[in-house]
Amino acid sequence: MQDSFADKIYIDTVTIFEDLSNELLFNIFEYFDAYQLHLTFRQLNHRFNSLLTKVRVHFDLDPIPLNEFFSFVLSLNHHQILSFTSRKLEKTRSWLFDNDEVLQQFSKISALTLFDVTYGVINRLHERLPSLKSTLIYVNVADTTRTTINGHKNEHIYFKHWCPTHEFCSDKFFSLRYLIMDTDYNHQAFGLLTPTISTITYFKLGYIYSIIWLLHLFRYSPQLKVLHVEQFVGVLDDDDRQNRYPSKNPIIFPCALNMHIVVLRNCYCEPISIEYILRACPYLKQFYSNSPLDYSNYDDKIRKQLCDPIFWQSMIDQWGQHLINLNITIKGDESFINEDLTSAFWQLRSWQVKTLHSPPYFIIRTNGKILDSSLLSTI
Amino acid sequence: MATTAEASNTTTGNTETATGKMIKIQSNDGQIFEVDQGVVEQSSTIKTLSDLMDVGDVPIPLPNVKASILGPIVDFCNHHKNDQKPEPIDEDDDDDPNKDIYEPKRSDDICEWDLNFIKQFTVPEGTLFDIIMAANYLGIKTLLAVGCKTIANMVRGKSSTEVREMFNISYDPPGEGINAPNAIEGQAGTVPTTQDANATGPSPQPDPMNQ
Repeated sequence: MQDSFADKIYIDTVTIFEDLSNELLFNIFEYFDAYQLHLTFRQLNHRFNSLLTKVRVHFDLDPIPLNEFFSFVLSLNHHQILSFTSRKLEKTRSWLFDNDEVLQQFSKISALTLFDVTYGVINRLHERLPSLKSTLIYVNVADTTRTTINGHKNEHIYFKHWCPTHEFCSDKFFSLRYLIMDTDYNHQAFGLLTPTISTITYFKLGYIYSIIWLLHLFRYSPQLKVLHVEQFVGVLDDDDRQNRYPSKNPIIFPCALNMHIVVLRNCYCEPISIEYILRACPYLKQFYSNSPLDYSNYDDKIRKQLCDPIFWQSMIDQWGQHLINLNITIKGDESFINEDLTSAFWQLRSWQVKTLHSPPYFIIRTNGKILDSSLLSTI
Repeated sequence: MATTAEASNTTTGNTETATGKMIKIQSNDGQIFEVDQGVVEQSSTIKTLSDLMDVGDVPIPLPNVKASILGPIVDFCNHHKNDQKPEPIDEDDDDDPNKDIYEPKRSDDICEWDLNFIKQFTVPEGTLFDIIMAANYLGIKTLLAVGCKTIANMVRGKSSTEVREMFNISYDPPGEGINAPNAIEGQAGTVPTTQDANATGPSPQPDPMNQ
């Protein structure tokens, strides 16, 4: 049986590109945006043209010359277009306002990426493509400016109470799972006046002013699993930065039962903030906190406490029982020496604790598998 | 007659090694390769076959792959068998916004070893397409991605005319497909696709994928 299999005669012909199956060609097409794809594979022959009418495409506005834009968009079937990306304000404006028939080709997209965009454009987007409320799964908005040069001076007041980027973070976008913004979290604009429950599971944003606002976010995003904050000021109360005793509003713990990953990329953290985060997220699996600030400008006592392994040990023992990965970096001072502070408590969890002299840092890190897993390397 | 690849260190019987049970696989031209569990785990096809069949010492036949392709594939899998797998965070694994693709996939992230590996396969010899088809048949996702990324990188920024030349892509026969009279009417301003008398491209061929 073995020999009969081997003894068969195989004619060795040279394989060509067109021998690839449609499935494999679709695999290759996934590496191109819509315009690149059509430039490269259109008009080769009937088979390729037929495949191009079936492939689902990502639409990147940037490489498309404006004089080709309208005809190219209209040559596509709107069910083909999965996502839309634009990085230039003028082109985004043209897309949004110049031709409604063209714009409606994007009424079924599930992902939207807009860079260099104004709040006004986002506001009009909500009006002109209302269907996106039910289709968008992913939104990435960055380099947002509050207003254009000729914007009205009262816009600041307007955006204080309602901010168009926060519209994405409401129950109106009931399919939205991933929201990436570089804007502030403004609790006055989001939730406080008209509380909404968002379905977002992954949220990356630019700035949160205090732990109270963070807890506010948790309260109105109960599905949240991953939170990435570029800058976080972990004081208790943004109205009174010296206040370390909660008295204004009752805090209900836990309030983020689904949270698995919290990343605070650049933060000033106070011990009470850490405690509140861990108590709010009882099933937290990964916690990343980087404090590159010189704490002596804030409170030297707090920095010393945060750089004490016993403080962290007590905190994790009480509130961080589900943590798998931990990566904490806190800037120290010249008194720091190179020292391994890993005790049995940390070894048991495969975590390493150390201080460095130059540059001076206090570090807690997961051994072997630092937090830059495939997931976190992307955020 | 089946021959055993020298590089595979074949021994008789059910070989057990430090990495577990060894399994024999056989190319369509009869060459036998012995692979360990680390290699088997990377190929969904071989894994399924070895799980379903109590193969013992009998090689698993792989009738769609020739030895000159299967050998390098075994090398590829041996190189990658100790790669760290992404740690599953969750059962439903929806923490990652990149899991579902919301923009085109990246093709510029092939590691250096893989770049050098894929260089041995070429378009004129057809081996680049052979390795892609074999990776697909064997269910080796990482190798399939390297192959598809390589093709994408080769054609990125090129016009369809250049791609036609690069891959010898066939024309539709005159009067058929996109050269049909009604198709041509709707294609004002696009490049002509009928092979002209002076063109050096391949002759029109029936398209096996569209049968």
